[in-house]
Amino acid sequence: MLGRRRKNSFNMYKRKQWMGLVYIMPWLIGFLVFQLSPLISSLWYSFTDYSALGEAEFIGLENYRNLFTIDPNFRKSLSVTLKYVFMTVPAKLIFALFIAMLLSMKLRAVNFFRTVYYIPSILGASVAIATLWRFLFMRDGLINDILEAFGLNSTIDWIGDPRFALATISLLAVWQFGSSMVLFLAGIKQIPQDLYEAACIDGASKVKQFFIITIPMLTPIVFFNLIMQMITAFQDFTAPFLITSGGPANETYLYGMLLYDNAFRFYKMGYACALSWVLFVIIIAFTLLLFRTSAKWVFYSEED
Amino acid sequence: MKKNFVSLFSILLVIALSMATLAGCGNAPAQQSGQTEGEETAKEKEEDSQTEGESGSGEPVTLRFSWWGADVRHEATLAAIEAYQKANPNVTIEAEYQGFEGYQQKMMTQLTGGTAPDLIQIDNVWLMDLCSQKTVLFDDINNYSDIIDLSSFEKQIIDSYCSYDGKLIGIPLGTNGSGLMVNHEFFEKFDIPMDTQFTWDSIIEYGKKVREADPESYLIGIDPSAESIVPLFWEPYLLGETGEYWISDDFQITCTKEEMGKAFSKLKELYDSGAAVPMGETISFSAKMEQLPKWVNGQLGCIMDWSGRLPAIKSALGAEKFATVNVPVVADGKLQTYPTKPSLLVGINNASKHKEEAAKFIEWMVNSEEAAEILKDVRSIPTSKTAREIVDEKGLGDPDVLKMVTNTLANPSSAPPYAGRNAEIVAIVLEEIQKVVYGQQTPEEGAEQLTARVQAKLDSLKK
Repeated sequence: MLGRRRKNSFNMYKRKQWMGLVYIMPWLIGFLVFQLSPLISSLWYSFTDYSALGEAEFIGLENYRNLFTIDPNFRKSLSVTLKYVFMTVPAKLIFALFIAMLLSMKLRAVNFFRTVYYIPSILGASVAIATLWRFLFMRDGLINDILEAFGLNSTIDWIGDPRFALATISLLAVWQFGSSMVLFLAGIKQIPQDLYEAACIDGASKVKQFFIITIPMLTPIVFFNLIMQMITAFQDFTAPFLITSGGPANETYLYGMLLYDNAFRFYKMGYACALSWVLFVIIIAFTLLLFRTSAKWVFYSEED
Repeated sequence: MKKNFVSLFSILLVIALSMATLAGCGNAPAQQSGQTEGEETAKEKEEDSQTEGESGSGEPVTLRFSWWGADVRHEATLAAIEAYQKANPNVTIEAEYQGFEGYQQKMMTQLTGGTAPDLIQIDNVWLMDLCSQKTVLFDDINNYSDIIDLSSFEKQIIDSYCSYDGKLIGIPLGTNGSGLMVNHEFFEKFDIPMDTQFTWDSIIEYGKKVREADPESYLIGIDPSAESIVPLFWEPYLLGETGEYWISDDFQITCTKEEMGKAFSKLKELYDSGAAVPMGETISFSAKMEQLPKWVNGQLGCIMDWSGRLPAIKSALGAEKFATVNVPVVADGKLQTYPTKPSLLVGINNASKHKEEAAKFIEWMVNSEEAAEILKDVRSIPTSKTAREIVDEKGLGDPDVLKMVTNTLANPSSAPPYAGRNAEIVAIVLEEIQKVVYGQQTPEEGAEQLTARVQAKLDSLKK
């Protein structure tokens, strides 16, 4: 009895499943051609001496060995990238949350401000922004002028000084907090008002409310933003490429730049593929780590 | 359970299959194209020579030509193409032009994908990287010597700057000289003579004088980009000091660590003494020194750069204050010569279907009066003697560019070995230079590091 019923439903299920495949075909083809196949071919190339201009020859683990034992720029750019991730991601999230809190208040023309604060994210790290950054942070630039107005006589080359360059570049990433902010805004709106009312009656201050209601209720969004921003930060490339081209003294030589240089300047596509797989593993590791910890601090209200 | 197993199995199958095809993809097309290209071209050549014999030209042909540059160059080249099309109605030339940024990367992707234009403008420093590939990317122009009159080029330039392994890869369109682009008002103000041959030591001395008189001003700006500081300071300094290039054609470092240390020290002294604008201030103006505020404000005496950058640097300052002098040399050095290079070559894509037509267009560009009049000096002073004569005679070029190139060619450095122009080696040199200038390592440590890293790279190139 049971067996027959199961078989029938299985047949039906199977037929429907195939129809489903037909429906998602446009996506499926795109995925296979533009995502899965590059992924797999890059894995293959990472074991070859592919130069992008000639044939590829299998060289086993040579690329990986060079990468871990010889290339000083690998270690350098990895440490720069880690610093960059640890600086930009928390700063960006805190800033985005702060602005989202401000914009969730009942202000006049709040939609206008929401748009304005989103603009930097649309602009991205374009050539124009790179120029802007250069003129803001150069020795005779606006930032030093402002510092001077406050009586601080600064002659720092924010971009050209190895001590400050990475922080200056990070600021550009932090400045583009728009998409995280929008997610926080949506999250804040989802928090039931009665929680705040209850807290009010119990006599909790606004600050306390923020820490005991807003933050815990937002943790799923914080978690999501953290993961997404971390992944993009690890892969960041345009800002240092356009503003510093990796300098001074490789202090802003992010992993993305190292990858790009090897692939497109040094004609070492195979090596660049190996680099990208190492980055992939690093990102996966960090993501899994975050998922592991998430059970401890991420609060889903649906669960209870 | 069973269902799960089936789906798992099918997924594995799909992955295995796609892997197989992808792995195939990696090798097959390159190999195939390599082989069939050779056959095709042989066949085409036959056909071409047949049609040539019959009518000369007739079949409609479409050529694609890619180059980089600024607007002036684009406009002139487009005008030249139009003129050529008018004279040869069967030929259509599609122009693909852009700025320098990203050009090399795009070219490389096109060459990989088999979509590269027939005529490609290339920089001579890319020759080794492009020609040491397993696939032949550019055709040997010596094959077309019956179409292109090579006698209008110096043999030395053709052999040492444009050929690799005896194959002529590109025809040079313009010759770059080097020099100091001077704000002569600044030089007069600080009482610095213009008519002497500067040495790096005298630059440092005059630089100190400038700093004493005005702590806001600097004597010299050095473009910190790899395309400038390496071929205009690092290479020439060691060449001047030792009489030979620091890397030889057989992939060996020829100079000692002491000599490298000296070059590092001199460069550090240039910055530390205040003669040169601090590297930190110039680094965000790499390859766009004309935008440096101190230059525009007249607080900078001169900028050292290639003549190709002269027009931009000149117009940022104002032509009336502008002058040029020769690059500094090494005091008491073994050689006192000036760096030069044919800046832009045009090569014929080996996969092109109309190589003969492409060659005809090159011949017209470099050797016809009409083209010379249209193209003037938009790719620096023409390397072709025929074109150069016309430009000189009719006064078509910028007199300052002309002066800089002429002065450089009066005493030119010999061609540097290609090995030294490998992009990765240049990047290593730049990195070690920066570390020394920023004080992260001593000149001696820099020499040690540089020797080890460059020799390792040279060994891998030799294989």
